[in-house]
Amino acid sequence: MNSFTQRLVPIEVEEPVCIPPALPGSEVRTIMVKVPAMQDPKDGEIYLGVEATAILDKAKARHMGVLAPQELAELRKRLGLTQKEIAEVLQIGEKTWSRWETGREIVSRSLNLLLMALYEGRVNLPWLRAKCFQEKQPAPAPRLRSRGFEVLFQQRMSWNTLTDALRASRSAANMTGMHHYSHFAIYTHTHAMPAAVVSPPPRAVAHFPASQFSAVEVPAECEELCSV
Amino acid sequence: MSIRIPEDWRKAVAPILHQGLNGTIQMPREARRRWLNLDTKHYDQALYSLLAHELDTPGAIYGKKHTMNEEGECYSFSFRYHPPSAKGEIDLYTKLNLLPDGQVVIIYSAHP
Repeated sequence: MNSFTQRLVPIEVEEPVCIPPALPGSEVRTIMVKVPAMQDPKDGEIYLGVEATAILDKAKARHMGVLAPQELAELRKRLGLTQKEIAEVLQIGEKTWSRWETGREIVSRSLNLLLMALYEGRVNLPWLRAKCFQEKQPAPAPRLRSRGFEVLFQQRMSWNTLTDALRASRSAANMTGMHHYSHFAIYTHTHAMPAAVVSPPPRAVAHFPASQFSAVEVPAECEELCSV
Repeated sequence: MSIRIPEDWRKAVAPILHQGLNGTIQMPREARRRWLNLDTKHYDQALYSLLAHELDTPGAIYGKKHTMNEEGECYSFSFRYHPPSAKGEIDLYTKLNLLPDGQVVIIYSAHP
């Protein structure tokens, strides 16, 4: 007599998937999704396996417009992060991330937008880490120091102010005959120009094309200044 | 009569559920639908990690041994679960069968 797994016959079935309401007060929708299944010829019982589960969960996530648990796990692994590390970067609890990745809860809609952007490569990990770093540090006061030519900018500084400060910093460097920056940091916090932290070693600034700055569109004039 | 579920069985079943590899977990259609009806705000796969976590949690689990049509070692037990939409925890009843090859688990039940 064949064992259970040997006698199963592959078939295809339609299974219901419940889509929770997007807004309070709206109703639960049920959609039907075709999945592979196995039938036991002995008693006709139909079994659903891991493959079917993945398809059903993905269908549910698609209809809710969120990333499926498998996609969250895939994203985390692609970024080379542990659950603890990704939770830290996203500034959520580790257990919350674990519940999302294991499918025990659906990812929150607001954070899903950020995760989608991350999944699609519209933002990257250095950008997120920079934001995380900013959150944890007290906002630095705007200052310009000639010694060491460290330039720190306060959040929400406009690019005009930024480039002015860069010019002043360069001129200070020229005056003392030192044509390098020991530390170069750019902090901004606007929608148009996301944050970046750039700390090239001395004289390496010139080898840092704007295209390599993490998730930042550096205006041409700033690029020129950065190429000192 | 309630018995203590063997540690060896728990240690064999938990990793299968945790890893969730293709072909290693089977669930009757009806059982899947009962799990689905429990809450709309969790996914199907949540059950695997939930059961794995329960079996991995230190401490004795008491349940019943069953003889099923399918060969293998089958136990049922209940544990506390907090569905995402519910205000509190519920008792979730489950019945799991580890097939003789030690590679496949059948989840017969997962419902209150």
